[in-house]
Amino acid sequence: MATNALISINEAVTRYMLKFKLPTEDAFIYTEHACDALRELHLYDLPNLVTTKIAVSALGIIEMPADLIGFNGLYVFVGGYKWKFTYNDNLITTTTITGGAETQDEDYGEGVAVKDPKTDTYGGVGGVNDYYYKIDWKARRIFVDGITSDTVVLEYVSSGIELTGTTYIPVMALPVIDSYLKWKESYWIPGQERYADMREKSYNNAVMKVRNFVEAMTYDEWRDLLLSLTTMAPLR
Amino acid sequence: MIKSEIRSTVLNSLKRYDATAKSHPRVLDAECEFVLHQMIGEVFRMSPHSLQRYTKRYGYTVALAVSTEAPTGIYYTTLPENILVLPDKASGVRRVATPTQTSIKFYPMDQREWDLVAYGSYVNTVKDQIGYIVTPTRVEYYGMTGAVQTSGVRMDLLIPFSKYADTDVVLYPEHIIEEEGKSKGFIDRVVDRLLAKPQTVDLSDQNKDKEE
Repeated sequence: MATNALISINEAVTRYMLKFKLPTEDAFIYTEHACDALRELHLYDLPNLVTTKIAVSALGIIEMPADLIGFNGLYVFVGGYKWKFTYNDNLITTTTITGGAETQDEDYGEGVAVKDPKTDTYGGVGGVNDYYYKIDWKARRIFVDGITSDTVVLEYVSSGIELTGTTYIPVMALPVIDSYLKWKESYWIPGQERYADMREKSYNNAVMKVRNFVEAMTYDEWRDLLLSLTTMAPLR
Repeated sequence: MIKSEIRSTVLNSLKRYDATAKSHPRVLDAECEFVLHQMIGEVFRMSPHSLQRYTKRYGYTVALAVSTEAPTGIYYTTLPENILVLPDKASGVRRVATPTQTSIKFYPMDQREWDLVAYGSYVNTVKDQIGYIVTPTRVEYYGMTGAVQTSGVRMDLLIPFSKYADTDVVLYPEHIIEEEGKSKGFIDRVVDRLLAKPQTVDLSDQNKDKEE
């Protein structure tokens, strides 16, 4: 058995201080920067989506999880597959307070089900959907159409920094953390400012390596792709 | 060398001014203390990681207690001995650890960092890191856990020469400086300081241990 594929953020910091013979008195500064680096990785480079079941209220509203920093999709499961909600910019995202309680006023279109023009004859247009959503980032809420008082599946990007347990990072991202710390320390260690640009390039290179690895397809995936572009025909 | 041997070596390196060749141990110790602190400072500038080798260990037999200050809720350990003060955050407390050897948990920090970290940071949510702040009389902890408080801590301290027992081994830095064509280490520098002091020639031997 080889070493673990995940290491804790603390371990990443202690390894960095070990490798570069650094004093431990800056451990907290390095930890804070390492968390920043991890958040950036989660947001832009790693495929670490969080998939969670989440409640839709009676008003068709989903309250965002506190750690959600990027939205990826809403789904219901149909026949073993994810059925994705469709973004609709025209959904009404206001509510009305009546007697201290949050309600919806149909006069303003609140909570009114979207009616797509449907036809099953020739000439009918596509784009008819059962479920829509619109995000109110300011209120950190997702308004949905087509489903209320139910549970759906939310895929999102988390900061990756755990509030209650140990924060882990994939070990393949360790060079990114190292180069990020090396870059950032240029700004607080006297005399190292002149290395900042060079170290930023090194960080970008490390990020690209991870991104290439994450985005790369396996042999089977390439083979399936090529085969899917071909059509079998009888050999005459 | 143990402390009494160092004192004896210094004494025997001095010129004898009177019949008993007596120099008060307290005077010798004071000069040893000055030079030791000076040389520890030089090691700090040359290679701070090396300072660990000159520490005295506390809490290894019986762990040092971690207490809670009632009004503030601050966790702390009273310093078991006075320490040498150095410019970095760890000062004379070069290492704090749990009684049982585990992964590193304690990192030196300063009060400013504590305030900033506690106000809102990712560090505040990352577990298993305990910060220690060295004050003149005690070590205060950020992020102390119940388990560590129960187990207590051990510390490696840099202490002044005067705080060593006569039978303690004093690990003084071994580096030398070149001065006036001579290589001078710890003992030489102490002797130099004593020789440079004007001393009264005590022909009547009043410097003896007791009246006859």
